[in-house]
Amino acid sequence: MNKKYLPPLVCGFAASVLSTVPGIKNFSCCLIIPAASLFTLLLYTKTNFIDEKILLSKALWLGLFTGLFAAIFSTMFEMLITFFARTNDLIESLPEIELTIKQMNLGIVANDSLKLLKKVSSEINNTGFSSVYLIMILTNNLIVNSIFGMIGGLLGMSYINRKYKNGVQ
Amino acid sequence: MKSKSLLLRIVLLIFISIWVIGFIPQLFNYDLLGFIYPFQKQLYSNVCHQIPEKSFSINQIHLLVCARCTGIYFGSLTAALIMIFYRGKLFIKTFQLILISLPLLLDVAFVSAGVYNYTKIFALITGLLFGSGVFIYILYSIENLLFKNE
Repeated sequence: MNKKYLPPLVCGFAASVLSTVPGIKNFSCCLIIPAASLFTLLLYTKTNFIDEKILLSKALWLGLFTGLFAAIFSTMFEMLITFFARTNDLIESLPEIELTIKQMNLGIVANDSLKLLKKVSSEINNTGFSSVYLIMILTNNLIVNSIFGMIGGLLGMSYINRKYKNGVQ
Repeated sequence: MKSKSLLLRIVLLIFISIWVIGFIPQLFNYDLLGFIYPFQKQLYSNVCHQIPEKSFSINQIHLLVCARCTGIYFGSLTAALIMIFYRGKLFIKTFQLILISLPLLLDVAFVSAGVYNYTKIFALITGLLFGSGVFIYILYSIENLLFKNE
């Protein structure tokens, strides 16, 4: 594989594994994906023997790819775990969502959303799979992980470029 | 301050503001957008555990991220806002960034180890420090790279 895509693939995979491990998500919150992007940039400079400033576009691209790979892998892991466990974070937080919707008196449309989520919940309980849930988490992961991946890319670029003040090592 | 640099700072401020507004349900008119709440909660669950006991609440409705994440994002927002009015560049060394991040890391470590109990205020403050520090650290690099000749 092209060395350009290997670091984002490796770090994206590692991030998705870490974000699936129970407890780690609570521990590191939103820092896993940015940290993975930072490591992607470090790995990229090492594997490609780059000894110069990282460009903004390059940092954003690598961060974006890390986020995208992480999104795909973590969706796969999430679906796999959901299939075997027949439960997930969404189902566990459903009573709280229901309570909040009642507290906020969000109306009929919100109740329709809730009905959809309950349908998802019953599908997962019965078969371990829900196509709506798959689309939902894949979309969420792609959006959020891409954003945070790019932020991590910027962080990595900032860290690496500090060594090359004014373009001189 | 150069106009391009100011524009960049305004764009970043807008992006961060949108993100921050997104996790405060109280700012939304759910009479019109009631259906989005469950999906909004799901979206932010990607970046935060959303444990109610660790999240701030307004009118008994919890924010969609925990106190620490609230601090991180508000820290970035505050720094972005300040940088609109601050003429010039703020520079944070990597060592200083680590120093700023240390309270957050230590708080996480100590709470996880059971040395002391989780407090929302302390999580918020450490998050604020970290978020503002990271924003300034990144902003300097972007500006240095894009506008180094100006």
